[in-house]
Amino acid sequence: MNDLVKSFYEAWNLIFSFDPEIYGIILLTLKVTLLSSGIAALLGVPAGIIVGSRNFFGKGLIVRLVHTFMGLPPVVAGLVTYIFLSRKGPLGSLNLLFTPTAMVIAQMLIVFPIIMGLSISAVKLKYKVVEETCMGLGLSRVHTLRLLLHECRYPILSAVLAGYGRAIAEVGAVMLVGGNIQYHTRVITTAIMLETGKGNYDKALALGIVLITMSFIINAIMYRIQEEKRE
Amino acid sequence: MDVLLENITKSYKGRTVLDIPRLEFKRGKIYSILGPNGSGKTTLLRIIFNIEKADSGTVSFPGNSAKPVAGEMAFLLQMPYLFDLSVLDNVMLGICSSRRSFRKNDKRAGGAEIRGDAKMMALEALDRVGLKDFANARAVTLSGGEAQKVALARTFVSPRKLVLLDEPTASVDISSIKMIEDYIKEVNMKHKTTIILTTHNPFHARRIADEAIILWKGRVIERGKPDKILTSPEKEETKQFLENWEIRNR
Repeated sequence: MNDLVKSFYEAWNLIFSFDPEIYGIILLTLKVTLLSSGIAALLGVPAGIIVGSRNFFGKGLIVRLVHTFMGLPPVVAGLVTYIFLSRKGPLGSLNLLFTPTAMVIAQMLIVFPIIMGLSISAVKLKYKVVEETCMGLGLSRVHTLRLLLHECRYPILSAVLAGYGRAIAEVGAVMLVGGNIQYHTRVITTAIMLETGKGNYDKALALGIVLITMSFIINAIMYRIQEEKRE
Repeated sequence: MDVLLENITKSYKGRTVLDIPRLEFKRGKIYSILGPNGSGKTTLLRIIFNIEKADSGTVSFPGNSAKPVAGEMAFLLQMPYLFDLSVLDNVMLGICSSRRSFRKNDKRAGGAEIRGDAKMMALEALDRVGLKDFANARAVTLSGGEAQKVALARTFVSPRKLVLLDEPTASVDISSIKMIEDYIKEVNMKHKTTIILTTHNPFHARRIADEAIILWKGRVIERGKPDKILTSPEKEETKQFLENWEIRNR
């Protein structure tokens, strides 16, 4: 128990001593996570809106595939990315393996179906009544889509934040394609695994506290969004 | 705007919802489509407006040089939807302008001048339905009756050639029904707008419509001046429908 308390104490000291390695890990985590969830949102939200608001041949299959991939095991996403980016893979010549870019790609594969799937659900509830109301007023297709996005902004924002929350907690895929290289591809989750294995509980705890704090901030924002919607 | 329906049929899961060989609406008149629940009133309006497709038949607009553009017609849904904007911004959505914008400071709307005119029109429409004081309120906070009035203001704020109203007084209190009926008549007189409204209230039809059309199980069984139909109906189905309202005994 004394060791545990000591570790917490050391962890707080590490955070507020602005240890360069710790903060380098935090900054890389933020960079990789923001990039992967940002790109996934840019692709996933419009895709979700289009699929959720239209009826077309194959829609059912696409929705089922998206829902399946929402539960994609992260290590499988990492494996697929690894195979593609490895020297013998189709994109091996790009030399992206064991780089932050590879980690962004792997995280995107995990986060994109989550954002798209939740966006489809958000839009499905509203699109018919929004579309008919806009038709009834003679509004253009573009205007209708803008209004649909406006009406679904809270659930879509929640979808994006859910994607971000998933990305920041990712460990398996980023470990595979990033390699957990010090000062290069080490993020919070992979560093926690490493430091715990080495017995450096203070460092692992420091990073764990930061990770929980970041998750708490995301959840606080999501909660605030839901409260604003209810008002 | 004249409207002509020919050989319109519509079925849902084997049940005939509409079967209309010919139905015509003349420019500048108010028509009231009466009938019990499930008679096809809403489906008829939705087919005229092309929100739903008929299984067969055509809807045409004789006398209109071209196919009507979106801004020439409007449709008020049976359960109107207000967007999560202010009441004023909701009404402004009904203003027909290619440079309309629902954002307050959107310079792409053509500048403050166009937005200023639109705002005045919207405020006038809100005043007409007695809700000018609610202009800055968030539309989603309104009651059902208030929302219906705002939706009506949004439908009428801009002159149209054809307006379809699905049960326009369904959610409003009795004291507001006359106000809405007066608004409908005013718009019709001022802009020669053809107005087709559905209702299951014959009194409502008698007060405002130039012609009443009785729909029964998807078929037009009777049409004519509301007073004549309601006091001296010819068809048994019409008599059966009106019995509930005790018209004939008044």
